[in-house]
Amino acid sequence: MNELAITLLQIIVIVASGRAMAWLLRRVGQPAVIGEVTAGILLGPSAFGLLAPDLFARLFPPASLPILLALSQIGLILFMFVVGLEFAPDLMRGGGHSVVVISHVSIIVPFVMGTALALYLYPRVSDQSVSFRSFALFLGTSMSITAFPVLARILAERHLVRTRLGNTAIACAAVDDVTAWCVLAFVVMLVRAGNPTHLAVRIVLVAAYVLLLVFAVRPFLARVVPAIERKTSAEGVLAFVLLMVFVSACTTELLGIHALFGAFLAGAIVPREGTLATTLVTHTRGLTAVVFLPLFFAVTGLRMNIGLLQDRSLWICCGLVLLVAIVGKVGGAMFSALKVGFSWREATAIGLLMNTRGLMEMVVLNVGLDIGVVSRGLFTMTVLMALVTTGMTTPLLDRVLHIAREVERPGEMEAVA
Amino acid sequence: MRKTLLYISLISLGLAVELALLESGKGIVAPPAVGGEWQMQVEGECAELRSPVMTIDQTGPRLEILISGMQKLNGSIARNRIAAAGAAPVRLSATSTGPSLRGRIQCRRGAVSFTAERRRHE
Repeated sequence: MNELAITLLQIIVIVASGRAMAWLLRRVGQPAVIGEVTAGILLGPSAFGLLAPDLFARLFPPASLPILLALSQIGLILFMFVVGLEFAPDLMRGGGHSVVVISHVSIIVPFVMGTALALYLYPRVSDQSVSFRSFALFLGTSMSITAFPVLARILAERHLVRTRLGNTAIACAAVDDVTAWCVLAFVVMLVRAGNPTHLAVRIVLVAAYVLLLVFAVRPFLARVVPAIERKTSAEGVLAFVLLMVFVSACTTELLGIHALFGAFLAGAIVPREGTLATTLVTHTRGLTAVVFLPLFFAVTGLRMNIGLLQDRSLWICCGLVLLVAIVGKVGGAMFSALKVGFSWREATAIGLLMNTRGLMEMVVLNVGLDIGVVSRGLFTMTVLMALVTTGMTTPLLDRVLHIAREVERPGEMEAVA
Repeated sequence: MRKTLLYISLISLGLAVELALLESGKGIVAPPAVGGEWQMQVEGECAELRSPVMTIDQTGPRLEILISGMQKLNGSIARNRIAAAGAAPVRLSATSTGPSLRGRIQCRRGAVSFTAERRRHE
């Protein structure tokens, strides 16, 4: 079979299995992302490759993987652009001081616990090509992620968006997202820079680029885009903005942070006035969600291999990763929510919601693998952790909120608007 | 005011612990890095190794070794010494010197020596 036929066959299998698994797991109350990630893992060497090695080698020959990887990277760039487009700074101001306390404590607690875990994991799952500092900072970052899109969808499906609980969780997740991207950008620069001088130069250049986007490009777009919208077709505007996305992604890649940051920044600076942002979301989200993201999940599945966890000690490491991720995130968010005046049940619900890692964690882990800071063994462990922490959210949340509704006191879950 | 104090104390405590942990981890030594793709040069007769490219997947000291034309080997690295074996009596032992490996591999007709140069890092 020629390369094009193989690639098309791969896309057919990946998209179809992703949709089927998403449909199946939605029937048991799980977010679609869990089904799509599970399909990606099942298509990889951990399941399909193990059960039917010959067929696996025919469908995913090593020579075809760079094409799949490139397609998934382009898809991820478009996805991060949509995430940037949907980024709403207003949300971060929603709950005032409480939000800042909960979100930052729910970052720092799992981050510090992740660093402590790194003391144990570094000699067991890493090697001398990675410094302890880079390894520990990356592990800390991966522990402190919250998936804003999945969390928002879980809250919307349960009609909790306009409650004090929902409002706080969304605001915290928005703050978490921004903080986590900043920390990740710093860690990537740290790993790639090599020495303090290069790191300092890169930080200055990245800061200058962000300032340029916010204070020069954004106002320019606000003035120019309405004129372009009037003069050209919707496709013309889309072409203009997508070119900007790829230029921005390319710039941040060249500056030493990942291309994904450039795509996110390009989305975040698109003016919200008028219909442009909504039109762009409509145009890019469908194809990205249906075709490109399943490709990314399949690539993630192909890059992980449960078979690499050869012995009991590696499964103990995997268990510790899971335990620290859950205790750090749920515990940190719960403790701080209690301290700022939430009830036990609301604090537990906030902790569970903040523990949703989903797609964002997959993005972070793939960045870690790309820059060589995580081994494939640790990558496998952390993907499993992301899957479990996302999968446990809805059943536990429903349980906690069901009990809460039964004994709810007036005012405990009141709407804020 | 209470929330501000709470925030400052929790975040500063967290940062202080983080810095202490990073400092305490400086002395920890990880195994040598041998993960990646290696081009092998076999010194002797080994029919199985026609165009021997060795791919090593490394997770800490544990190694999964794939050599074109041969079965998968599982092994480990201790200091700079690699030892690996497969299901059939296929064994590999080697010493890493950074960008190159030198060792012996068991073929059907007996053991042969090999050297390997790194083609791509993991």
